[in-house]
Formats: sequence, C-alpha cells, structure tokens
Amino acid sequence: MNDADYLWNPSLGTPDALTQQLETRLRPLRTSPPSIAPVLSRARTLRRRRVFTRIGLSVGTLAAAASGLWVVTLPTAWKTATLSGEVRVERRTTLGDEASQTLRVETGRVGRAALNIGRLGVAQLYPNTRVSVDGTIAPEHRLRLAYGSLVARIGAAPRLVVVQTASTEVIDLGCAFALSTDSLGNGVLAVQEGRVELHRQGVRVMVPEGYAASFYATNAPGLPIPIGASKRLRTIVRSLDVDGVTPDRVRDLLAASDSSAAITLWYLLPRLAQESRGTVVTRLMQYVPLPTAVNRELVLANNADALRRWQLVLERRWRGESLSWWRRALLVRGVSSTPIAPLPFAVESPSRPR
Amino acid sequence: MTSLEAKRSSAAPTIAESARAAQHGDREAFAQLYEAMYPVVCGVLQAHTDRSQVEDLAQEVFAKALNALPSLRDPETVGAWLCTMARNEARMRHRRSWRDAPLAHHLPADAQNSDMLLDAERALAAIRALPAPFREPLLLRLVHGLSGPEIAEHLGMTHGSLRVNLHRGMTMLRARLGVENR
Repeated sequence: MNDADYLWNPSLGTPDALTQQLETRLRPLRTSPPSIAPVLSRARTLRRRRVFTRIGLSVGTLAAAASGLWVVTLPTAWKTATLSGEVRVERRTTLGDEASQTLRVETGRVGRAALNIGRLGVAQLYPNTRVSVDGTIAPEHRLRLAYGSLVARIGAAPRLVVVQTASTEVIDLGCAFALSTDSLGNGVLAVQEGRVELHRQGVRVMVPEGYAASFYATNAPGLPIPIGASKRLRTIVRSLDVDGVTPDRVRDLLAASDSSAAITLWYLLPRLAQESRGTVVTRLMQYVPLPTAVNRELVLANNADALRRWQLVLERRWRGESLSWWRRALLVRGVSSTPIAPLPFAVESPSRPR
Repeated sequence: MTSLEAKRSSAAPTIAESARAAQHGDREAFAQLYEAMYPVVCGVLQAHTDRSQVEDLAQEVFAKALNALPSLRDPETVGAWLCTMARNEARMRHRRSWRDAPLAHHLPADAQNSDMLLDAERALAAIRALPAPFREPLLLRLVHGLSGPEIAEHLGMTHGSLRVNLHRGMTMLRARLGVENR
C-alpha cells in the first residue's frame, strides 16, 4: 500500500510526508455547513426576483410587439385620400442618376383631401388647394403649397417637415397648425399645438400655440398675434407688417395690446428705431419682468446676452412647448380622415397686404 | 472513514434520496442534502474563486438549487449538478467582479522554505494554480477529506479518470512546491 492508494482511499494506504503535511495544513480550510436559514431566505428572494423578472420580460415583450405593430400599421408614406369632392392626384417618376417621384395633389372648388407627410404626420387640404412634393428626401420632408389652405398635424422632431409657400418657409417645430396662402405667397399661419417658425430671407418669427402670423409676398414674416385678437389689433399689426413702423402705429399697438401681445411687442422690438424702443421695452417689462443680471439699459443698448436672457423668460410664458414624444406619437397616429380642427380664419381670403 | 462515509453508513438517506424528497418540497430532506453536499460545493468553489467569497457563493448555489430542484431530471446526479452550478456561479462572480485578482500561475519554488510554503493559504494557492481538471479533485481530497470514489461520484467522473487526475495533480503539485517527486 503506497501514497497513490492512500490518495485514492485514505483507509487503504499510507500517506507520504508531503501528502500528510498538505492534509494537516489544509484541514483548517475545511468548512462545516452554517445554518440553512440564510439559504432559505435567499431562495425566497431569488424566487421573488424571478417573478419580477418574468413580469418585466413579459411587459417588455408586449411593449416590443406593440411598438412593432405600431410601426407596421403606420400610414404608408405620402399616401393620399379623397375626403370629398373633386381631387386630382398626379404622380410622376423621373428616372435619372437618382430616381425621384413628384406628387401633386389638387383639390377642386369643393374638394377636400388628406395627405400623409411620409410617416411623420398628415395634412388635410381644403378646397382650391394645390400641394406638391418633390421626392421624399430624408430627413427633411418638404411640401410645396402653391396656393390654398391646409391643416397639418406633425409628429416629427422639430424642423423635419417644411411647408414651402411662394414667399415663406413654414417650419414645423412639433405641432398642429393651419396655413393659408395665395399663389404669390401672401398668407396666414395659425398654430393650434406646439410651435411653428416662419422664415423668409433670414428673418425668422416663431409662432407659439394659440397665435397666428401673416406672411407676405414682398415683406418679412409678420408679427405674431393671439388667434382671437381684436379686429383693431389685427388691423394695426397688419399696417405695421406691410406699411412699416411709425411712432403713431406703435402708439396704437400699445394702446390696443394686453399681456397676451407680449410676443407681438418682442418681435416688434428689432424693427423699431432707437427712439421708439424705450416705450415698447417699458411696456414689455410690465408684462414680462426682466431676469436678474439684465437691466433696461442693456436691453435698450441691444446687448445680445441681455436680450437672449430675457427671451428665455418670455418663451417660458408662451404656451406651445415643443411637443413631448408621446404627444407627437399620438399626433401621427391621428392620420385618419377625421377633420383636425376648423381653420381659425377665412379660407377664401388669406390676409393680403394692402 | 470520512464524514460523508460516516453519514452514508448510518441509516441516513442517501444524497439522491434526499434530493428526490426535496424535489417534492421536503425541507428536512433539503437540509440533509445541504449538510452532505456543502463541503463538496465549497471544494469546487475553492478551486475557482477567492476563499473569502466561498461561503457567500455556496449560499447562492444552494438557494438557486432549492428553486431549481424540481427541474432536476435525475436525482442520482444531484452531486454533479450542484458541482456544475457551483462552477457556473464562481465564473459569473468572477466576470462580475473586476476586483478579483487572477489566479497565480506560478508559485516560486523554494525547497529550503518548504515549511513556509506549506501553510494553508499558499498550499491552496498552489493547488489553484494547477490546470482545471486537477484542482477540484485535489481540493476535495486534501481539504475536505473525501475519498476517491466519493469525489468521482460528485464530479461525475469514472474511477479510472479520477485516479489518474489525482495522481498527476499530486505530481504537478510536488513540482510547484519544489518537492522532489519519488
């Protein structure tokens, strides 16, 4: 009987010195089982964790399936539908180095149509409207509104959808809006949810929810005013937009405005001569106090940082934050033939400069 | 006679019988299985992980085993099953813990200081530095005092293979510790 036998079965052989020494030295590492209670408790915890994990996985799987279903059933890109009356739809495919498709939708005297803006939203076209789409170049979706009126709901990230009129770009910032224009590019925009930006030749006017602004074939975008503004205020603003800023008109505007016209005064500021700025700034300060570290003198001196700080305060007061992702999702989902909202202005007579 | 053999020689149920009963919710049987297999699981864990983590990992292994026992098809293989769980648990812990130092691959041989080398920690380190197939059998044999046939049963090996592994492992260990092979 030797060490190999002992190693196999301690009752069979005799250990050599090293084996014996190792056994002696390693014996302190031998462990006897502690109480089983912690094991049972840990098993319960693991069971609970497993249940929660399964619930989480199930919820995750369901959410993934629902998301998949959502995407699969999203409206087909640039699909059109006739809602009523006469609607003419033309699709023209141009084959070249890059194939492109042009879509043109034209409604008749009583025609109404719906148009999916890719998978980003929907537009409903009112009678006597012509819209065209030159390709669907990602990431920007650009509609050309030649003339007429539309309402749109967009669920995309800001600035992905642009409606181009003859004069002005209407840039979606995540919203629902109504738009009307003539073939020259005179028109009006009213924002029902979120925000929209008007842009013409470097001049940008942001129109928040609940406000409207005119745009013109030959002028910069107009001052935003509340959708329900009085006729007097609308007349004064139109004359400021079209005929230019005079001290009398500014005085009239201040007389006709209240705190809801703070944004109107804000966009008026850069158009004012230095001597007229004081009264407008004073009135604006009554509606929106200056933030700390900004004073009237800095604003009057056109200090860029001071103006930016004040603008941040002003913007917080305007409704129509860029929409949250879930509101965008719901907006996109709403691309049915149900009317979005009535136009907040007369379709047949978009505002024109006098 | 080892502790395990002592238990088996009495009227106590075998490990497989305990496992079978525990599968049907017998907590007493699970406690017996725990008592009997704890040293084996610790031996396997010692072969793969730091000693300070062995007790915690052993608890984790038995807790998971308690929950998974109903899914064990053959209670006769409960020993090998627990050893596999212990190995997996040690691997998972090792992956999770970046602080774990890698096992020592070489232990300096110093025949003149063999007494010093043979303290428990260093001997354990020497065994853990051996290739995987030799680590577990030697630890179960030298630390926990299990016999060859018991180790073979728990690790799911044939007697022949285990005997060879024990012998070759011991030879390698001697070389590492700088003790002349006979």
